[in-house]
Amino acid sequence: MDQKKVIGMSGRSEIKVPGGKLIRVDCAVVNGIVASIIITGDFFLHPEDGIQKLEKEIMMLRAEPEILQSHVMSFFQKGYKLVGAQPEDFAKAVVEAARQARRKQA
Amino acid sequence: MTGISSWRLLELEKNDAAMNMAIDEAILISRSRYESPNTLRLYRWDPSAVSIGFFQSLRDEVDLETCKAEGVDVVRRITGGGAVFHDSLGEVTYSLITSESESIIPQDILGSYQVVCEGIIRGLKSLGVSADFQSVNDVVVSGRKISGNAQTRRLGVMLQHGTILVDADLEKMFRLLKVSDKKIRDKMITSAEKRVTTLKNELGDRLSLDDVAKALTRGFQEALKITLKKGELSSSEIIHAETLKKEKYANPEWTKRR
Repeated sequence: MDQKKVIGMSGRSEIKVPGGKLIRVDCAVVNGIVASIIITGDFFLHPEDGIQKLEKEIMMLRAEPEILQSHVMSFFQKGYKLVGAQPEDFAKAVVEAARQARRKQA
Repeated sequence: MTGISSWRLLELEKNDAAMNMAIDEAILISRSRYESPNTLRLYRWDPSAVSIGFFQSLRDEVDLETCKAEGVDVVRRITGGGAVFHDSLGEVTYSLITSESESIIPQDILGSYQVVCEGIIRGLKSLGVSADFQSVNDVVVSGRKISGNAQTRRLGVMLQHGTILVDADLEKMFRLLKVSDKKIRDKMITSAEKRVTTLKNELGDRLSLDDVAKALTRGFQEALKITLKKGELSSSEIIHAETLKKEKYANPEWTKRR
C-alpha cells in the first residue's frame, strides 16, 4: 500500500533507552492490520540490513500488542545483535506506535 | 612470538562528505578481498557536513534548507549511531579498517569499541588531556563527550569511524540539526555545552588539526600494538570510491532512504 495514502491512520512512538539511544517507530494500521512501518533512530543493529527484515516481518501482522511483541522478540533470536538498546525496547516502541495508529483509526 | 604488525596509515586529508564515506567503504571492501592492508585513515570534511546514522530519519534529524543555505553537505553513513556535525575547521575524523580476525580486536562489538577507543584516549593523553571510555561508543573528559564513534562489521571486516572535537560551534550545530522550537534549541545548546567538550576547552588553546592527527596516530599505535606506515589509497580503491560516491553516497535515494 502507498504509505502516503495511509498517513492519516499512522501512529508514532519514541523511546529513549537508558544510555540515551532513541528508537522511533512510525506505523500505519488499516482494518486492524499493520499497513506500513518504519523504525528509525540512533541505535546500532548488526548486521544493519536486519532493520528492513524486521519491518517486513511486522508488516501485515494484526496490530495486537501480544502478536507484535512476540514477533519482534523472536526476530532478535535470529542472530541480529543490538548495541545500545534491547529487543524489549524495540517491542515496546512497535506496540506503542501501533496503539497510537489504532487510536487514530477508531 | 609474533612480531608487531604493520598497518597502513593514510595521513590527514580532506574531501567532501560523499567521498569521505565512499573511501571508507571502498577500503572495507578491498580489505575483505585481501587486496588492502589493515588501515588507519585520518580525514577532514570540506565543506563542513552533517552525517546521519544508517537508521536515522533524514527528515527528522536534519534541517536540509539550512544546510543548503550554509553550504553544508549531508550524507548517510554506513554505520548506525546519531547525527554528527563535522566542522571543516573544528574536528578530526578517523576510520580504522581491520580484519575481524585480528587478535587485538575482540569479537564482541562492545569490547571492540573499548579497544579502539583506547587509541583515542592514549592520543589525547599525549596532548595532556585525560579521557575515559564511556559505554557504548563515546570518549569523555570529566564526563563530557569529546569523541563519538560508530562501528560496522561486514564481509569479515570491522570498520570503526569516529570524530575528535577540536573546536565546536554548537550554535551552528543546532541550526543544522533539527530542533524546531527555538526555546528548546537554546536550552539544548546550554545543555550540550555541559555534555560536550573540545580540545580547545580542555587545553585553553587551539591545536592544529595536524597535531591532533599525529597524536591519534601515536595513540592507535600504542593501544593496538601496531606500527603505522604511511601509505596511499590503491588505484582500485580510488576507482571504487568514485563509483560508490556517485552511485551511493551522493545519491539522494541513499540519503533519503529513511
